[in-house]
Amino acid sequence: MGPTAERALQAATILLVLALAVAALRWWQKRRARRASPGLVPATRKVSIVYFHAPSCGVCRTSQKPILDRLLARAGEGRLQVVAIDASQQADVAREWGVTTVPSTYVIASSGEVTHVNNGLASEPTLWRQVS
Amino acid sequence: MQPSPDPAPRRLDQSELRTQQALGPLVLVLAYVLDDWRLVAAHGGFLLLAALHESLGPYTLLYRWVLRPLGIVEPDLRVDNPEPHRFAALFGATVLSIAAYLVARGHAIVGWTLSWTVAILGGIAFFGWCAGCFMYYLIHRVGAGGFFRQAPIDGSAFPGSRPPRGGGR
Repeated sequence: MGPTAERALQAATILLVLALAVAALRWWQKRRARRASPGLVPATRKVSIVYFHAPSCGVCRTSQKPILDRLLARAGEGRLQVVAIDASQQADVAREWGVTTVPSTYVIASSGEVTHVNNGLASEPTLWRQVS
Repeated sequence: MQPSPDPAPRRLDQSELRTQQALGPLVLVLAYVLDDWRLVAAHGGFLLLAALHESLGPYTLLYRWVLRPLGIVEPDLRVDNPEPHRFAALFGATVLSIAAYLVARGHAIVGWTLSWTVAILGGIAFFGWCAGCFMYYLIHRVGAGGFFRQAPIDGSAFPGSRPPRGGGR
């Protein structure tokens, strides 16, 4: 193997390790959320979004909350429910769910399976795709 | 922290910034693969040009002259401060010039580590959090004036986060 190919392999390994680290974080968050969700999300046949926010988070107030309101209006309350958690008030719950930042949104299918974890601001098209 | 009063909010094309944040790490990874410190120095020079004036940056020119006219990348104008991005570019240029020098002088491990650090931070910036902007806002927070006078667009948002679409002061 030539030196360029060897370095390409090293670069690919570094990128792969980074991608795996991100995937591992998501897997860990989903696992924690799966364990914690029955106690927090009311059992319904609706898709649920668990939304972690904090009063000090401007993006939560100015962007994520309006996005969720629009999404709720679009999907209808018969199909979608949003469970909002103030991470500063309920730090234990946030820890239990593996929340690393606010806003964070967890999408839970009607079957109870945690399907998506969004760390940071999740756009309306992204959430719509995830709940559809 | 309250945002600085500014009657005329400035809008930055985030697609322009994202072009640099996407292509920069690719250049640095290519530099590593080819084991060529000159590519690291070149990207550092590109960042220096972008820091001096945004319209001088080669990635910006590529976006303005090729990617946007061809419709490959759509404009994404948001209320934002240009200064933190210029600071981030200047900081990146400084680190990369040190990295290029170290690699050229045979200190490959330290040099490439610095280069990879800039590449990874560039990748993170592409996904919405600019570490250099975060540093700028930290310096602003300790009371530095002049170039560091701009507060985050959304005063209570995490410093360095990309401003939301349609956000205003």
